Amino acid sequence: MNILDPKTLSFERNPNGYLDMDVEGKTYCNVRCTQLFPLSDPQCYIAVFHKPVPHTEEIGIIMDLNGLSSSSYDLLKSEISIGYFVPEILSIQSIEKTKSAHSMETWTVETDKGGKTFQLSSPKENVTVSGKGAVFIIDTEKCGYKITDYQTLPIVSRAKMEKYLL
Amino acid sequence: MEISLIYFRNYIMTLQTLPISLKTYLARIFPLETPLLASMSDITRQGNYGPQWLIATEATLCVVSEGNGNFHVQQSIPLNTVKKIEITSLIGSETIEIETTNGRIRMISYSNAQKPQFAAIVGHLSRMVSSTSRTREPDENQPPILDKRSKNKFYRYVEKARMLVRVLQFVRPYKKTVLVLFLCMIAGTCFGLIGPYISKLFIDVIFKADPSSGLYENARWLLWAVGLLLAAGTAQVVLSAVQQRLSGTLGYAMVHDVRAAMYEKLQFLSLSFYDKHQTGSLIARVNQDTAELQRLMVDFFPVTLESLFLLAGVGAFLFALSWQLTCITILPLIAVLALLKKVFPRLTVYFNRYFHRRSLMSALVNDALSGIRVVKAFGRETAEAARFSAHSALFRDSGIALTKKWSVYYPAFSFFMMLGAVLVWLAGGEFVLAKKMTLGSVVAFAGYLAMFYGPAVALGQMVGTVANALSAAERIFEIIDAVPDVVEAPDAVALPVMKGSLELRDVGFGYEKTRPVIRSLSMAIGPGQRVAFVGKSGAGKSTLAHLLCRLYDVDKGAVLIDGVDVRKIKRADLRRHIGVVLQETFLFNGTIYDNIAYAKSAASKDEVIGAAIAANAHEFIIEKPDAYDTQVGERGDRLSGGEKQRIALARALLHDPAILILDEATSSVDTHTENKIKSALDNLAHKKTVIGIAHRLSTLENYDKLFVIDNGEIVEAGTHKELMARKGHFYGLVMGQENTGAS
Repeated sequence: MNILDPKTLSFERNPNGYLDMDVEGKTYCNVRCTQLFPLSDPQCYIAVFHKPVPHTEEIGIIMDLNGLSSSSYDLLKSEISIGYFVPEILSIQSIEKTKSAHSMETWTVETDKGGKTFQLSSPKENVTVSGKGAVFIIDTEKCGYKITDYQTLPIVSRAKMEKYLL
Repeated sequence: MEISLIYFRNYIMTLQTLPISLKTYLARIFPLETPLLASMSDITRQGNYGPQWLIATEATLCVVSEGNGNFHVQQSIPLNTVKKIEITSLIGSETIEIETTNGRIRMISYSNAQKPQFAAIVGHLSRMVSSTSRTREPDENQPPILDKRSKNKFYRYVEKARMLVRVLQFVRPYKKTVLVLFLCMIAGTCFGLIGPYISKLFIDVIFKADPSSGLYENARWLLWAVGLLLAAGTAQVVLSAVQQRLSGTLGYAMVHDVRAAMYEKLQFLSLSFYDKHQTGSLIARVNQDTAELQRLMVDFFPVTLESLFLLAGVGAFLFALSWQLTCITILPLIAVLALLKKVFPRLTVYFNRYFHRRSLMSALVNDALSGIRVVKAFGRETAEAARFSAHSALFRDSGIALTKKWSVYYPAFSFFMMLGAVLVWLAGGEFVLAKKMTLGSVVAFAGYLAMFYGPAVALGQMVGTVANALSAAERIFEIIDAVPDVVEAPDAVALPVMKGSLELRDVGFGYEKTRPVIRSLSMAIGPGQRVAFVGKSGAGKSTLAHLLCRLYDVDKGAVLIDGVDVRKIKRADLRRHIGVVLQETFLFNGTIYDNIAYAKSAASKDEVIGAAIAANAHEFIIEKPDAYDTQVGERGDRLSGGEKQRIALARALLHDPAILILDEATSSVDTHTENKIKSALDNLAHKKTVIGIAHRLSTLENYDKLFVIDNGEIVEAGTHKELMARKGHFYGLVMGQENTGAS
């Protein structure tokens, strides 16, 4: 496993819209990155690859984003959030039964990416709660939403989704 | 011939049960001999049901049959001509055959019901015939000839009582709660008993006008009495709430303890236990039997206790008020209890049928829906729907039948209870008119009587439930009491570092002791060597792997790691140094990370990623939307076979084991994935002893040594090249595979 020291890294956005990574003088163009633990540890373990397909080649793993310079940090964060667009639900305004269809619900929520209203069908299957209070929701359009720890939700929001937290 | 009686203490019973007429007959036929052994068969010589006896005296072995009240000796052989006694198993019956100096003789046949009895007899006979030292103790392994105990009703009750005591032992940690609970029950019962008595006071004292003046002189007590009524009622409500909470908490906590104890035991029981018990029935024990026990502890036990307290208290009051009236009104209660005893067994049949059909129906749904692809592929949708409909109809009928019965029985009970109340006023009214009782006493009596029937009926019903729960408890304790075969030796040594040399020394093993899979096998594998076991399926390759990592213990010989018997190595060390990828890769529901880290609960993320990289799993994991946080689904269903296997490999590598056992680890993957796994193995080959169990023979070139196993024996050993050159077993296997097109 090739570990990349965040202090030696710098990222820049190239004219094509991709990121270039500079490691101690060596430049990798059009890199792509992936969180290895997007749910349980989003800040750490970021794998960085060469863009060229067919065989993506892993350059290395950044253990912790916090060591990066602030500009690189922001660039990488935005890159990650495009590649892994799962908004964090911060509060729930309402959950209403959709009248037209059975077991369909309309959720109106506030996320870290802004407000959103989505449809949820068969909540039993599409709301999963993992051991440590993390909740993952998939709506009818296959978009994912997460709650890192439902116990930190405002009490009113929590009460609204209490019935899913089996 | 002198034979010690100690041999036959088990048989004295049988000899005593011989009909006296037979004894006299024997005394007449063999005047100089005494019968020592006797056993009755249930099949006659003609093959019909009927008695026949096998009798041994000091010198003779004979078979006596009975016809028209007369006995006949059918066979008689001098014991000194007997060479060998054998039992031949047939279908539904067995026959004892005897090898004598004059040839083979068929002695006696008996149905399977008599098997244990005759097995014991034959064991003793054989010893009588062969042994020279005839005063040996009886063999402990011999089945007891007369298992009277299991048929004895009394003994069964003792067993049940013992089971109840064992269940109650789990109460011990909650002693204080139980004490408080008892006090609450007693106090609650006492408060409950106050009500009817106050109604007596109302009528007999407070509302009693002085006959001369017509004034209610005791009217000042009214407020006090009402206050007392309110207080007693309130106290009773509060106490019963407390009691309900306590008993519920206690019951659930206790059953949790039982369940946890049982599950822990299940985890530590050896695989041989699982070979003998179906997983389904074990799941049922964990879920249903503890649920049954829970019903007993949470719902019924407190009710029973409360009923007992109430019965005692109410009974005392009833007798105190009027023993004559008590005797009269108790009569319908006796009728109710008699009815319960008679009717309830029958009702249970309906209940059982109801539950059974319900479970049948849900099993059917489960079966058909999990096999829905097959159903569709064969176009059996309509047939399946019809099958379900039939089962559902059966369930419906059993429900209707149950309701119908219930609708008859329940009113019958109510009728008898109502009868009791009527009797109170009939007889009690007479008593009042005759001035033997006050009106208040009769009112109070009626009140108490109403409180009496409820608990009495509850107790009557309890018997069946308790019996059910106790048999559930019995099944639970069967697991808790089971002894694992594979246990850590008390003098087990720690092995902090393992070099990885392996040796099998004259090993013999069978999953069933009587049918050895491996008879006598020896081999040595040096540290860091890569060897492969090859052979046909069923040859014993996987069994060897099981023995190496001590999932089973050998029956004979020893398995040594670094020169130490595996039975003497601490279990934790053994598991840490041996990594296994089993034939059937099993992933648990959870994330990929959870599954790799399963081998080591304290594994860091770095270690997990490292192991995944080593197993060539990292590259597909990062392609998953949630990378290491991806849920694998039940049994890992959301991953492909090759992915599952690479995760299993990562799991095995996490410990960085000295010995790696790969049981057909690449059997279910395509060639591309297989190469990935192979290259993963090449990455870490150095330092590790690798034992591969291979199905595909083309992938064996890079092993240091191959052992060809057949019928639990090594038939060939050597490198791939050597074995191919020898043109022996291995060559034959390879050619066979190539011809059938497998690669």
